[in-house]
Amino acid sequence: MNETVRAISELNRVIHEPGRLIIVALLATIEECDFLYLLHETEMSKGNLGSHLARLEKAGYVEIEKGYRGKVPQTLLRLTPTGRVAFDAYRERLKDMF
Amino acid sequence: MNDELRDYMGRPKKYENIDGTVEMAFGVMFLSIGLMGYLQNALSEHPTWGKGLPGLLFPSAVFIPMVWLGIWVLRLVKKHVTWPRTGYVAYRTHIRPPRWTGRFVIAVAGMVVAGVAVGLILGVGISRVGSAHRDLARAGYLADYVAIYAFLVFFWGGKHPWKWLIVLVMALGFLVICLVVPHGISNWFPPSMLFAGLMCLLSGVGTLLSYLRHTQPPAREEAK
Repeated sequence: MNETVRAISELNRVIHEPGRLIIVALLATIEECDFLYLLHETEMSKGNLGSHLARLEKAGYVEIEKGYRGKVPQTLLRLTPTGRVAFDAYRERLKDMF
Repeated sequence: MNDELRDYMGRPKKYENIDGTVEMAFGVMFLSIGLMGYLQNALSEHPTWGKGLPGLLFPSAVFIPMVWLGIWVLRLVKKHVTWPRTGYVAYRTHIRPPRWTGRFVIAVAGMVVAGVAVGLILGVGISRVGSAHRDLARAGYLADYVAIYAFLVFFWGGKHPWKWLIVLVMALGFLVICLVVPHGISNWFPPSMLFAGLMCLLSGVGTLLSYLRHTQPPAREEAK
């Protein structure tokens, strides 16, 4: 196994999955957004996006807050400090590799 | 891969103007400045309102309510049009901005400073030099607005190639102002600002109409 392959295998698997990487990259530069925004920006299906978010929440990277805006249900999403640290570390590692 | 990542990280910033509200905000601001300039011209001969503190305060009575009205309308658009259609985003304000945002701000600020500097340097000799130099100073100052708008179109207008037409119209409009309006900043500044404001408003309204056409009306989020 050469160095690059070893480095890739050491990347954070939770973030490295393309769908989740897009979600984390979008959340990294903002305070918070709702489910609809991520749906619009990622162009994933609701089910797919929901399952990725559940995985990120389980890892402690994303905070999900369910509430209402007026009478409309709204799911707010934000990256946790742990998620930010993990994403920064992931980017640094990626920079070292390429 | 890092480039793609950067692209995704930059999307929330571009999303801010997906509905044209940022351009409309610039438009309202320029219109307010233009109207304020006209008011100052009109009041300059008045014995009370044209001098000292009242001369500064009275035009602000036009500027501040107009800017406030603009902000109120834009928030209304975000709340009732944009957020129900394509989602809500809250931007980070209390934390160091990412590097690309810093570069963007520095680029815009640099253009503004460069334009003002060119205007001032050329303007310093206005009383000593001929009308050709005065025209050059004025054209340099107005070209700066075109350059800033062109930069914003480059940054935001990927899906709207028609905005380059507005850049062209803006450049031609400023050229006409340079050729037709007499010398003296009080003569050419207010119409220039009104024209820039109208162009920005037009661009913003065009973006909003395009946004409305390409998005579904209130796509409500399902309770999960």
